[in-house]
Amino acid sequence: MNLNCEETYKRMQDYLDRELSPREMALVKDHLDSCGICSEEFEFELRVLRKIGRTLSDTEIPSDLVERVFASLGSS
Amino acid sequence: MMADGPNVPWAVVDRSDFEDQLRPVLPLAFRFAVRLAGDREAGMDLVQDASLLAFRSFHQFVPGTNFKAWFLRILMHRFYRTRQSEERRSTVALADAPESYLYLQAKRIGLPMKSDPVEVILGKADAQMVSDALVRLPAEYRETATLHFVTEMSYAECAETLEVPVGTIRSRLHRARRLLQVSLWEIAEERGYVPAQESV
Repeated sequence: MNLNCEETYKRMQDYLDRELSPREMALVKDHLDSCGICSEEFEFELRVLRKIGRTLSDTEIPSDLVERVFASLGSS
Repeated sequence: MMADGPNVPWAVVDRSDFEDQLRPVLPLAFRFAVRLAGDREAGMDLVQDASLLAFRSFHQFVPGTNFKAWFLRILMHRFYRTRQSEERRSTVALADAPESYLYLQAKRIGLPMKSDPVEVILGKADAQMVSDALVRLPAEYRETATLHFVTEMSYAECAETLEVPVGTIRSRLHRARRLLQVSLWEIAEERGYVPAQESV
């Protein structure tokens, strides 16, 4: 079984999140390996998701986070 | 800040067991709380409030189940309880959010795909800009996207945390990404990072 562009596109988000079954992951990858149009769009989407994820996670953790939280329990 | 909480026999809870479970979750919880609450100070208050509530409810936690999901659920409930009176700020309509919006915009303005078009569009995007973009989303999409992006939880773990079916997480997340891309583009236009679309 091979996926066409439309079938592949419908699976894009789940593929990027690795939420497809192993078989479906392989089917999508097979299509991307042979379709420059789809692979270009998937790569773009992946970069967008990575950029957003990195940016949102870029929060410096206070060095005394654990101590402050545990202290707040102690004063309860 | 003192949290409200049920009148439960929390004093008999094994504190060291609770702290052992909480300690590894705190950095992730802090990042998530900062994104939910909007700044570091409010995020710290939220984590402390949620920790106190969780400590008082720890006798209800079932050993062997997912502590991270349990704790983040408490944190989210606490957040929304303190924000009940806040007016909805969403401005982006799903009908205006096609799939792959940024990709289509990159094509429209002629960005070469062999370079790094995402860097051109989002290179100047800092955490505040992405947070501003998230704020424009309806609450259910904002919370799902924030949870997934910050914690990198699977759909199943997000579903457990938010107490909704996995299919709901999937559809909310997919829609949230569409909305978020529109929202990010709007802000990039407003800030002059990308050329504004000509009005028709």
